[in-house]
Amino acid sequence: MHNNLLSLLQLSDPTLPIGGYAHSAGLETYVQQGIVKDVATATEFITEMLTQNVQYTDAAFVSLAYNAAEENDIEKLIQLDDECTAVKLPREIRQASQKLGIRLVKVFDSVCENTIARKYKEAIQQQNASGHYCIAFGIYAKALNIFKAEALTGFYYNAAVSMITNCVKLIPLGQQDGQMVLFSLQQLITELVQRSLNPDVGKIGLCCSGFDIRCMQHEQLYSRLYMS
Amino acid sequence: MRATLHIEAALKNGKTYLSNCFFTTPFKVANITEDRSKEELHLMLMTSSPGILDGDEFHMKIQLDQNAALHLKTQSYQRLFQMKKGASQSIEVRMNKGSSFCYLPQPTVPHKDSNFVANNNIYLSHNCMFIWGELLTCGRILNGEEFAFSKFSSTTKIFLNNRLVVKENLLIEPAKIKVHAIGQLEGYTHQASLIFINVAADIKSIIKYVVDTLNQQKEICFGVSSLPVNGIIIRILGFKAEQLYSCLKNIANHLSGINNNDAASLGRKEKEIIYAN
Repeated sequence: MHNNLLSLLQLSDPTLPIGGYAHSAGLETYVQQGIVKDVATATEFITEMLTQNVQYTDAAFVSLAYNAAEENDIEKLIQLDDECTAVKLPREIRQASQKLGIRLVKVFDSVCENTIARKYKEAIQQQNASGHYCIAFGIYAKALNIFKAEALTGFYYNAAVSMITNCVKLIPLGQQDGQMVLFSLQQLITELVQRSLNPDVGKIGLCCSGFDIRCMQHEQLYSRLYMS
Repeated sequence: MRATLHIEAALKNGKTYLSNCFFTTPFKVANITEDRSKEELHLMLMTSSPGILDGDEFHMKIQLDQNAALHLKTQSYQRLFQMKKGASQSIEVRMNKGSSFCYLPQPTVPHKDSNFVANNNIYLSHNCMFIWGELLTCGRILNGEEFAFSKFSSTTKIFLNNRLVVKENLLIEPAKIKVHAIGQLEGYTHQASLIFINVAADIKSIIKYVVDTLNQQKEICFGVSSLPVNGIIIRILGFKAEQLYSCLKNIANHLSGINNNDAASLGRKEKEIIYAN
């Protein structure tokens, strides 16, 4: 199998036109409430998000969707899609995942002829699936012949960059500070990728009360720059 | 100790009654319905044990027939004692068309070295009203046992017409995570959650009601949001079990007053509601 680096770069590009820039995943609440306010608290926010939230939810789904795509198992993909909807309890987080997912499918459907990806697209059209970003990411990573560990690396990297960009804009932090934080996350991301290769299915959707609450509070904020 | 409890509630002449009830020690069930003119049955789930002990394995099964309405309460705080092997509990709730179920157990207090795993599976059909609360404390603070338990896990899966619609996966292993970090308890010691599902409910106005009600409380942090099905989830962090429990109780009282059987007249289908979200 030819490992397609350029496809991975495109799939995990934080500037992919799917609307990722419009979502803060609760960060906007944390910044408005003065909890995330400098490099140290931004680093804590990003580290905890990657370790406690992304690892057990989105990255786990990327990994499992990749397996299901490999096995050409649309039933399994729909089951994962249902589970993803069911664990994303704050409404804006669930909707963000669906909006990004549907746009990711739109972008890659035209550039990548693939049976299982097409089946997932049809399931979304027939309202049998919601179309989550992480599930679509896993499917297209497989369809584009990207190795799983590298797809996961790209996924975590994309998540980290998005959070850093938002921190730089919202707190605000200096651009150089943002890049230093990103650089400091390399070891963590490498470890998380290893753990996500075979995710512990019992931990999928692990509840992070604080993150959930700030994401829910975002719905009630008086002024909002982000959709989540 | 291995123990089982099986409750079946049905509706006769507009009132819910216990059509079948079976339990083994330490369980006991008492009918505590005050207003016998009303449709709903109130049951108190009691236990002769001081709490959950090492090696305990409890299985509960609750079934509601069409249009039956059951409120299940617990008598006292659920203490999880010091353990080596660990203990587990499973609850299965099967709800037939138009039935209502409200379960708001008293707070759970995990003692030092307790290790507890709970699995809850809820099966809803059309037009059900469902309220499910959970409240976890950090342990016996006065005994110096703040987050001294080894594991607390509670997974709740809710299926609507056999399709998974809500999954809550609460797992706290204080030695393995930073409990006070951003995203976790953020300095609070107690956490509570409440799930409410009712096809007929007006979610927008309920969210407003919850926000207005909880905004009056001091020293808590809360969030409320709409579920992928017609319902809400509330999460609260705080410092006092009594305060959080009374918040859940007041909100549950308000929510259980909403008639779920109006849903038929609204003609809404669950599937539409899932994807309208």
